[in-house]
Amino acid sequence: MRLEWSTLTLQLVNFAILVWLLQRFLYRPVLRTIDARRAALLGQQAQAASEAEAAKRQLADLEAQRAGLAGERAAALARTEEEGRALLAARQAQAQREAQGLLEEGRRTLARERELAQEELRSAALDLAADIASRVLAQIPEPLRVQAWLERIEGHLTALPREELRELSDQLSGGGTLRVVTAAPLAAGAQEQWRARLRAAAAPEASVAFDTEPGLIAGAELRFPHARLGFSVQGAIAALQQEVRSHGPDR
Amino acid sequence: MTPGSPLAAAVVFRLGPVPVTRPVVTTWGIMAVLAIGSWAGTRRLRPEPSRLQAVLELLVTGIQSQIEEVVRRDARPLLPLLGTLFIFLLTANVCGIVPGVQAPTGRIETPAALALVVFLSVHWFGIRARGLSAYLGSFARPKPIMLPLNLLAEVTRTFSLMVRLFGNIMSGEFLIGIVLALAGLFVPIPLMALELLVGVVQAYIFSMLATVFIGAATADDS
Repeated sequence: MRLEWSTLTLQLVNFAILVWLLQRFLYRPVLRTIDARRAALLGQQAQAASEAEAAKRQLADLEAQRAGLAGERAAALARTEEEGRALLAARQAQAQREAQGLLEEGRRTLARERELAQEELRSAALDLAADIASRVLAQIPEPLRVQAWLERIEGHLTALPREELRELSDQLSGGGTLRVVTAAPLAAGAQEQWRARLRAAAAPEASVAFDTEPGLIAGAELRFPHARLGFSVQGAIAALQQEVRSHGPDR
Repeated sequence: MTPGSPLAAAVVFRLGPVPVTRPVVTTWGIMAVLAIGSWAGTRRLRPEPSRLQAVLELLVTGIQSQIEEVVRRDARPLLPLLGTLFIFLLTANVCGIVPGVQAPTGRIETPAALALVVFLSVHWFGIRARGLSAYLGSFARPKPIMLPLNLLAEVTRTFSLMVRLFGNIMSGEFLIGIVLALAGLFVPIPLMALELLVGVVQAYIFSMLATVFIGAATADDS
């Protein structure tokens, strides 16, 4: 067996060329593609890691925000509760004030109504008393219902101060008429008696006339031109009613 | 080789004084097939690989990982040499199954050339990795008395690489030829299948031994 050195040399050259060819057309392109894919994967991995890190940071931020929200919620609840308590207290105080006011108003209304009722009762009582008095006095004979007052009128005129008596006389001296009003007409004799005694007590030349007003019940009224002197039961009852109404519940 | 010897390579033509034998022509054919196939397969590489691209990536990364498992370092500087060695041996060993084609590794010149490539590469990568003095000093390890034996081992292991590959491929072809001549057309088919297996195994053994030799030469003593 003999070695062909030319063949051996050619095979050496062939192998070197084949190494270059495969390096050029196989290893380098394939490895470049694999490296590119690996780089892309590493890039995606790094991006995923960074995104995961960002997600973790966002999660931490959200947790912090949620914790802050819980604190704010608790503070808001406490604030609202406090405001609610204050509002409730204010409403209660206002309600108490309003109730107190209503109570006072009710009391005042009740007192006013009670006063009105008492007033009406008094008035009714006075009316009843006047009615009773008029009925009782109606049972008394007519001359007695007038004559009894003549003494009193005469005494009153006599007791008047001289100034007032002269003033009344002056009203009659100029042609004025003194009108004597009674509840029932006076008899002629009684009229003469009244005329004489009134002239003697007030003015001797006075003209005296007589009228009737059943509403006087009893007694008489002396009506001067510019003055009036009442001595009737009606006047007494009216004065009593006026006195009662003016003083009210003080009595 | 003596004329008429079955071990002699037939001269196909001559380039001046240089005879171009049949293994050389077959090697050119294999080189053309591998180069064109690689070019066609890697012409349209995409991030999402096709089936062919996946096969090519699997082939390249498989060889690379095998080299890395042996040398325990970055395999990329060694990938062109050792990857080409394995791919060429695989193709050359099994191409004898094609009718009319003789495996170039069945002639002594091709295994000798490949063994010489491995021999030179071991020292080249060893000196590059460790420096000249450190690499030469490694032959005197563990004791200086081992220097002659280590030097002899360098030669004998390269020689054994060559002879192992040549003997296995050549004997297989001879066996198939003899059986074919004696028994008929279809009888050697099992032997051809066995020869395919032998070709793959021998390609792997040759490549792995080359890887181990280079790995040992480039390994740090510490």
